[in-house]
Amino acid sequence: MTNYNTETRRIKLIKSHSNENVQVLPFPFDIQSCKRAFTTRNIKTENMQTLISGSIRPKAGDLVLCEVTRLRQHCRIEQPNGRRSRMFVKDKIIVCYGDRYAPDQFESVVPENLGACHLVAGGGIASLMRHKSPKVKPATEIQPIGLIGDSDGQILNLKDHQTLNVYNSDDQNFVPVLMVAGSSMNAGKTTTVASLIKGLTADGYEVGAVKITGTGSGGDLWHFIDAGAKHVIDFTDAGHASTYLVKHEKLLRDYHKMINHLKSKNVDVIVVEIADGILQHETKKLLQSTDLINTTTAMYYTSGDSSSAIYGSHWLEKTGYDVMALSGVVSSNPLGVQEINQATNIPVITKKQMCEAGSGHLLFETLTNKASQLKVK
Amino acid sequence: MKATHSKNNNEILFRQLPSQEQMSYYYFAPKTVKSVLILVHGISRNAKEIIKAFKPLAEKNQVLLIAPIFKKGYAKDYQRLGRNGKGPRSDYQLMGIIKDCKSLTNIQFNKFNLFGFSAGAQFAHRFTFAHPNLINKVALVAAGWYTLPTKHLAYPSGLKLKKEFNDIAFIPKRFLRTKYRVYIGEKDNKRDASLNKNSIIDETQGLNRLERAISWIELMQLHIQKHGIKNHIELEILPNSSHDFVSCVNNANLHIQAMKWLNDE
Repeated sequence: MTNYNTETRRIKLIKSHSNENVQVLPFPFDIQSCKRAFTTRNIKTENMQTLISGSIRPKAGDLVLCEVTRLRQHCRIEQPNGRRSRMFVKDKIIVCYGDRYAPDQFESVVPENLGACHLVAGGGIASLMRHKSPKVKPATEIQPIGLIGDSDGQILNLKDHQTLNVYNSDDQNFVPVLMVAGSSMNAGKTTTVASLIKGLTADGYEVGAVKITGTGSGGDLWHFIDAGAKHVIDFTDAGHASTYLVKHEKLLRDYHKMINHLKSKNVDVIVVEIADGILQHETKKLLQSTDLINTTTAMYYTSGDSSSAIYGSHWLEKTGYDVMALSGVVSSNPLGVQEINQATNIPVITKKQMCEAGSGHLLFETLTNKASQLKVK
Repeated sequence: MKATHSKNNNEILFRQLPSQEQMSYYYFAPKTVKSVLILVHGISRNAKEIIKAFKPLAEKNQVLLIAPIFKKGYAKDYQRLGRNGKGPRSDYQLMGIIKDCKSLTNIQFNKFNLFGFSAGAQFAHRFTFAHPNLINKVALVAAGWYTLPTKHLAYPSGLKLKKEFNDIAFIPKRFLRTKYRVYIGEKDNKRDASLNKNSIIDETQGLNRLERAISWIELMQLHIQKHGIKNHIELEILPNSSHDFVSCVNNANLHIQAMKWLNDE
């Protein structure tokens, strides 16, 4: 990604109106008449006071006002309250720029200017589609009108509106961290996380859930909340519209921030979902980092078929994780389960088993034992 | 709109937008407001002159007046709505000013009437072409030249857009339904220094403002008929008036005529 001088962007653009190619105008529309996306939920509408247009290069996380020009794959936009509002051509939507990596949908990047681009996620990501899966229609077309700024004409960016507590957990009580990774998109990670949460909360444990990577969308968070998680956060709370193309060091720092935030909420267990497959660039690098290996008490690995379950679990064990169970789409396929059982001793756990009475106690005890074993080591 | 009560102090007030120091406007809010009139100045930025002329009538007719100031040197392309790379978007400037005035006066409205003099009339008809949903009636006084309702000519001569705007679509079926009235001074038939003398405009619209107003109305009328829309654009010749707002007011009661037409049901 191009390195862009933040300071140059953060100058009060109104004061620099001598730059004729950048215009700062008061936000001309009634903000309530614009459909605001889930990704922008941490920025108050009162702060959206100006519209900045002209020759300006947008950056991931910048808020942008767009007009819907052609409806294709995404016909609805998810609002901050989770309602998926139907879109119409000419609708004004408030979304944010971001890169997206989704093998089942699109690969897209933040464009170089405010030219026409795409809505690549219903959660509200404006981006330029580079590749698409044959399974989906081309992305919905949108026309950016301008970046959204505060009353001083400073561009509003998610990174300046993080909601995580600043907290150092080094001296705090231990909280087990259960990581859920998968072979690919749609391998069953979110369902597994939700089922684990359901099993734990049904047995009286307070669960904190976090999705540490992915593309801004409320679907998974609502799923975790519905399953009973006490505190739910994701990377958008750390200031990212999506985590594709975000620097590894930054992701690692934000991982700690998110975990520490949940620890500060005094939960009993933290369940972590890491998006996409283990071979996806950012996911792979994160999983290989000693920070993640050392802070993860145990791992659930989800996959769509037996061969990827076996490859993935071996890769994770080799990397240094304690793979506690396999699950996901393959767990509902008896022949797939049979193949896995012939190749490895790692148990395959179904959604139903995770939600069963007592499964939460068993899981919590196992996690606590594993943690004490790790401490002894 | 429903009659709305405002905090009235019976004066024309000046307002600087807090979020943009380049933008300001005059406004007058009578005690009760039944309609809203936006007054758009000409190239000389005579906003105060125009709002002063309309104030007594606004008081009587319960009209909220807003006279935006498109600042010289900043809003360089305001007549043509601020094309990409030519200047800030003047339609958004006006919408921002209206939004500010709504919250300032606590008067809520969706639609308004538009009055434009000279370059202000250029702005007014182009704004209406772009945002017909916001407009009730438009009074155009002595525009130097016009955007013709044809996609055969590139904007701003016609409606064909390339990269002038990111988000404007001119839809004749919509803007041809708006009520327009064109006013032009009887003596406004000179090729003065401020007149655009581009040969294409001369050829397609006429040699002076009077000719150009007539040919624009004819073409608009033709397209109105073509689309099967019931509408009629009228031309009012202002007796003894030249290309000067004061002359039009003093010699032909332009302000009275315009206010009457704009407020007729």
